[in-house]
Amino acid sequence: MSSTELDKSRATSSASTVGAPTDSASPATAINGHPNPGIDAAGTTPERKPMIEVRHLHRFFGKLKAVNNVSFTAYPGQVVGFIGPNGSGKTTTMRILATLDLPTAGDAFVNGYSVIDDPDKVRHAVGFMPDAFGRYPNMDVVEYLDFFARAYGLRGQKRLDALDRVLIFTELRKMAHKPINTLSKGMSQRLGLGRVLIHDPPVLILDEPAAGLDPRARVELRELIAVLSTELGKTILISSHILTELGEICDSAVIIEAGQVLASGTIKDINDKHLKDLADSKNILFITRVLNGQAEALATWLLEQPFVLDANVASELVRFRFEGDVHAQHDLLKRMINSKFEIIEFQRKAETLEDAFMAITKGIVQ
Amino acid sequence: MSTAEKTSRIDLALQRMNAYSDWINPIVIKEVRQSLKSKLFVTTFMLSLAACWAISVIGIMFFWNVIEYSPVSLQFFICYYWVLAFALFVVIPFGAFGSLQTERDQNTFEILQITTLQPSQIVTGKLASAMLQAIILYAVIAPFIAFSSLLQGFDLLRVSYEMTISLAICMGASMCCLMLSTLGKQKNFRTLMVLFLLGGLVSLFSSQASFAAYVMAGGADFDTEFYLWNLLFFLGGLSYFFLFHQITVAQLTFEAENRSFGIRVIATAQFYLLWICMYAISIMYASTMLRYSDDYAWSCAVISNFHWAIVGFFAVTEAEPLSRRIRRDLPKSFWKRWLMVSFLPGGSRGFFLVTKHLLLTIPLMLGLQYVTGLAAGETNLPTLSGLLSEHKTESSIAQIGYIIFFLGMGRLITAGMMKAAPSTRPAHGRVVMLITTLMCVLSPYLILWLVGYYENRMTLDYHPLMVINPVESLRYINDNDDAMSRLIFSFAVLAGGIVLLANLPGTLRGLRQGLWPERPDPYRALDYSTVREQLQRAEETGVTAVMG
Ligand SMILES: Nc1ncnc2c1ncn2[C@@H]1O[C@H](COP(=O)(O)OP(=O)(O)OP(=O)(O)O)[C@@H](O)[C@H]1O
Ligand SMILES: [Mg+2]
Repeated sequence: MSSTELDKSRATSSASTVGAPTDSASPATAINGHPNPGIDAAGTTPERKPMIEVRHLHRFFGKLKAVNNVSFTAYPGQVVGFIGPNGSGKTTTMRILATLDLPTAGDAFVNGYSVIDDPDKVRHAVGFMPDAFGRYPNMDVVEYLDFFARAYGLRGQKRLDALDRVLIFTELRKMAHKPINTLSKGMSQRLGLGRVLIHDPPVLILDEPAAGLDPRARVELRELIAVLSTELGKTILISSHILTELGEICDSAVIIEAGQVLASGTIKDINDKHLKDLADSKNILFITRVLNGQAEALATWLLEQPFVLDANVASELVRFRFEGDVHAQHDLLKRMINSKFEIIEFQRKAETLEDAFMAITKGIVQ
Repeated sequence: MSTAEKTSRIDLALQRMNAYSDWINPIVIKEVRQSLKSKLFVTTFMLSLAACWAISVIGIMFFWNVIEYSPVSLQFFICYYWVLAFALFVVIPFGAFGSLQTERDQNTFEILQITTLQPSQIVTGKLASAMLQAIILYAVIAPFIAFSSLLQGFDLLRVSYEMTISLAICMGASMCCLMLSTLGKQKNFRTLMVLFLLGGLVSLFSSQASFAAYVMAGGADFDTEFYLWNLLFFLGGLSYFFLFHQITVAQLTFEAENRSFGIRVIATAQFYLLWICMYAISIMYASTMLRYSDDYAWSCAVISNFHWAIVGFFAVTEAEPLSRRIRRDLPKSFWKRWLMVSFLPGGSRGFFLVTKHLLLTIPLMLGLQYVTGLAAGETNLPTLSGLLSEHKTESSIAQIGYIIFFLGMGRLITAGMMKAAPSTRPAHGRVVMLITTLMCVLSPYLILWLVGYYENRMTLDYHPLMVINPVESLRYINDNDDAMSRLIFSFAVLAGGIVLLANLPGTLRGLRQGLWPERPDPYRALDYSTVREQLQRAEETGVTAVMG
């Protein structure tokens, strides 16, 4: 389904389904009958009230369509990966969700409140961690967190409790009195996460939190996020280009390019669908391994065969594209085995999430 | 002391502080914590202390022989005061400037903006931190002043006066700096502004330092008039303090929010404050100093017209549409909306506000003349027609006509530009308005020069073509009462009137927007037709952030 079809189906299906969300305690009746507008295929019960609901979001900067009809939904406890190449509109969408910017058209709801109409209520419900955030000079970890606790209006014991909770959760207690501009990247990401958590919002929006972290710090971050979503029931929207990471952190994903959603659903769905597309497609990449010195000759031989589009050699590997159907594949394989070449391996190129991503996105640069 | 011990002590102190600090502005707490660790603050503190010590020691050595019977207290105080003044008028305001600017530079501002902290709290917090620093410096200086009070010739009244106004001026300067720090984001512009600001602060310092020397040397009589002037200055200063506060807050507020309301309310309050003060003064002093025929009422009109010209310059160029958030928050009662409407953002409503008050100036001015005459006990009181035919009145009305003409033109041009090229910003409108005005000022000279009018003349007398040049025309009408001045008056009234009429449809539309707002349906089901409408509107208007 092309993205425009996707949009149309959503446009018709999601009409007048948001109803009138009033507050977080209201029964989820408004959502009843809510058709699947995106990623709530993630085994979630549709009766649950969505925490993030982005609807036909558009944001243009002059002629540039940075966000161009993006819709998706996230339910409590979900970790949604927001994946896209550079300049695809992730940060723009997230800034709108955090009430730092306004859409050109469409709307987004956090905890049922519109980012356009109720920014104050949205701010209470959202913790936003931008990709780059400034650090105050002459300030230590506790002071930083304390300042934001106060800025969110926490008073007295509540504030102290919030500080304790965050320091324990992020394991920053032992660094409580370290000046923040001496923190390592990993530690300052933890501090950023701590700041986002200080007013205990149900929705977290994290813009590339894993960027620049070493593998260990990334694993730790992943664990923190897992705890936040599974144990504390937070809804987390997390953007990244690091795709291999996302498979483990997220239960679902929205893939966006040039401001448009290309695919959305659970990670598994996206992957399966991609594999299925590949199986259906008539242009498959195969890799063959032959004994020493035969690669060049094999490549030449392959090029003479029907349905072979191209063949490249890399040491003893030969990669070639093939556009025939399964019968043609079988024929080719039989002929290859029967030929003089000493074939050791013959495989279809392995499909990773990375490949799915590369295949889905087209490298459009606006 | 081990670090562990130190930490636990800090913890303990923090805990104690925590109990009391809940209701203090978070920004103040943050700034205090930061400044306790900041080199700049500690250096200023230590340097002031050292300077005062040096002054004391050198002074005592210098005056050693005469210290017991000569009034040297004055010299000591002035020297201490200079140290204090430098910190108060240069270091603290400049620190405030830097503090808000770095906040905005360091990407910290955005995450602050989405907390529940209001922009006004941020500004007030920054101001309060500046105030706190000033108070700490006062505490540093206090013992030295106490020392100087032991010497001969100490004048408690004058010292208290100086110390009080210095604190007030420091606050004013800090507010001004905070406002400047929010204007302009371009790097070159900022560099220029820093230089300009430093120059301004240093000259403030030097003028205050010499004023203090003048006052301390017995230069001003502390009589009723002196206090009255001080009161007037204080009130005027306070009104600008609030105005600058509102402007700063507006600069830190999201565009879709109501940013003009506070500014417009304060500017209007300033207008009424001016006239109230003027009426009060006229009643108090009419019998001794003023007569109705004086230029007094007319000068008030000049000040108030100038005020509205400046307010109008900014107000009439604002973008017209009321954002969804503003419309949603408009009061339910029609009468409340009627009271609010001219304070809502938008060029048409700005034009309405300014014109309304410019026209109100005429009766206020005439009334002031009448009241002055009445209070002075003059027997032959003027009639309304007498007042109206007064030459100075004519001149004032011409002034108002010109202001309405240029503001109205500015609004029409800006509104047209915004319609034609939707990416037009208010600032563009202001530049165009300036250029238009400048062209009206300059073109008569150019035309007259081109036709050779100036060739065989020694003096530059007024040519009828000059009517479009407000500067020359107002000067002429002010100095002369003849057929030509009559012509200028007629032109100004006519031009103002025509522009007023030309603005009428736009103004009415603007008022309707505020009086009968299309209230957004906050939780409307967002179907795709709405989105398509929004997109279409964005395409037509080019406004890419949704406002309506
Ligand atoms: N304020 C702005 N003015 C003009 N263009 C903008 C603005 N903000 C973003 N853009 C443009 O919008 C597009 C989307 O940007 P965005 O930052 O959302 O991408 P992203 O997906 O976050 O990219 P990255 O992975 O590099 O962070 C980019 O082409 C960017 O140049
Ligand atoms: Mg980004």
